[in-house]
Amino acid sequence: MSGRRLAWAWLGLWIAVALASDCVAADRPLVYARGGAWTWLPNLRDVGPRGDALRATLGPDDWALWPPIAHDPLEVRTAGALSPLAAPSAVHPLGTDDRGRDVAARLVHGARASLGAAALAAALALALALALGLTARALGGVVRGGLLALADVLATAPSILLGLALGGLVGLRGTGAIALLVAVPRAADTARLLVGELDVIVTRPFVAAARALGASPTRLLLRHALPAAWPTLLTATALTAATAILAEAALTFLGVGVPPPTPSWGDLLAQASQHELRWWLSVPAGLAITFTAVALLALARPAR
Amino acid sequence: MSAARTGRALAALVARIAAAWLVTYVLAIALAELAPGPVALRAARAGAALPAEDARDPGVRRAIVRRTAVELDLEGGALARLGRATVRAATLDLGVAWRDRRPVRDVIGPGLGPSGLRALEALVVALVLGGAIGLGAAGRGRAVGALAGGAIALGLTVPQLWWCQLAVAGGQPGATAAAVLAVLVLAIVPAAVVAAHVRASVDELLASPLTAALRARGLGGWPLHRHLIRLVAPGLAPLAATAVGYVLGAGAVVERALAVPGAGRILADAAAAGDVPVVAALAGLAAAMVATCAGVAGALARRLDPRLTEAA
Repeated sequence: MSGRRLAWAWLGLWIAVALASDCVAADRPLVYARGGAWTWLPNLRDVGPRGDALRATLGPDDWALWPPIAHDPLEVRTAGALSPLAAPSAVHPLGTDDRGRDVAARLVHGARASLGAAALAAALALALALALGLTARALGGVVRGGLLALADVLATAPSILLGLALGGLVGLRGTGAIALLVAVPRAADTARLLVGELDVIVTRPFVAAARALGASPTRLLLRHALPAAWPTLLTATALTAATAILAEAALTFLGVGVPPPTPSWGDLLAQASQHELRWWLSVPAGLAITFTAVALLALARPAR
Repeated sequence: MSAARTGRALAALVARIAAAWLVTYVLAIALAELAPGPVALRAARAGAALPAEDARDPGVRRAIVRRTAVELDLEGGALARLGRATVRAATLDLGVAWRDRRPVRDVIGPGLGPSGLRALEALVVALVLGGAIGLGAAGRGRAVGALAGGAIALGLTVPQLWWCQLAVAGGQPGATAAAVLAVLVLAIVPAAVVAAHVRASVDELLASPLTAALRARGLGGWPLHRHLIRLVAPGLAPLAATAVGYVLGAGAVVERALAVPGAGRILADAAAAGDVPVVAALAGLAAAMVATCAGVAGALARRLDPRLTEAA
């Protein structure tokens, strides 16, 4: 399997897990039969008894189909007892965190926050870069110079510093804030790339041919030049997503990222630092972050 | 370069640094005005002068907030406060920290030296390590190329926090070891970027007619690489500003994870406490440092490659 396919497989797996996290890790079954009556997807509808309370009511003829990880990411008690920082066991395959919550369940649900921040940052950066780059290319002159100078300044702004500053100054935190903080400098960088790429593309013969056939400047830019710049834009977008995943981990560790008790990969890494590096907190989250960032980088490479 | 031109370049650099400081500081103070709640109330809370809600009667609370506003020069409207902050920034008066009620200069001063030195050391390590990896991997076989590519990808994608955790997995290091580890962890991402750039540029140069001509004249090995390094180095200048920004930001994570002193830790603590003057001062200083490095790197690049000056 090529590296690109492996990258797609890894990302596809985690995107599916993030979208279906309520069916992969939950303390309610996917379906159960009690007294002859079937109840479907109580985990998604948030109805009925949970975990051990449900198990206690099931008779010999009743049954329940549980998700692969039968724990809620916010559930702090196991069989009625608190078991914080417990090592991996049959009940908790990846152990528990400092509140006694199941690490595997938090890893699965954490994908939603981490990948959500990455997807939002990538979409925001792409939209901003398109707006900035196309305006600079279309209007030219002073507007182009001004926008590119602004992009130069914004592109050097580091996301972690911005996150700390805005978290401290405005109290801005959470998935949306991380996405915004990563998207702004990355959008500026992508816009610079886009303008440079468009400058080269408009000198190509196919654009000259379209111009000779009477295409307007706007049509030339949007219908002929922009499609040829997509590979560059997609490369930059993949890098933005990778940056967002890494920034989420750093900002959550510094206390200005995803707020507790929302699970995220960065939260697990941060907990590992606070609790003498329990490996079951650090290794799964670290591997998930690293491999996801590597996969995004691998997807960016062929286009480059 | 003539003395007049050097003077003009220096004046432009100083103006750029001053603008970066002033704009960032004032922008930070302006952003703080957007946060919910009156500024004096937030300042009182940051200084722990105001305990939890409803802990005191409204009269006492109002008195504390009024006193805080007077003590910290937060009276008047948002525009008045912004005007006073601009004057302070222009005269390099950093004001008083909301949390410690000490001059901001005293709060951030002890952290600036270690962080600045660490950033500089990390950049030097990144340049040497990244340059060596990039040069070593360029023009080699597929196995070496794949190995270098893997190392670069890992350098770019492993979170700094995880590097720190891996570094101290064997036990908490002493102060010196922690300082060395901090520099190494901070150097990883810039080193990967430098390695990727050097490798791509040298690969391109090795396939160019210039290299063919140099080889035809009998050059090979180190003498040939010396020529290539001189041609590749100016291309590293645009990376300098981004690398400095990265090192300053990542410094907050590394300093906290490895328990080493520095401005990054001060910034993280101030951000968590909502201490606006400290956050604004450190953000302004970071912007000034990025502007300084970008300017100096640009000047060095122009010195190494005179074509850049002609193009400008």
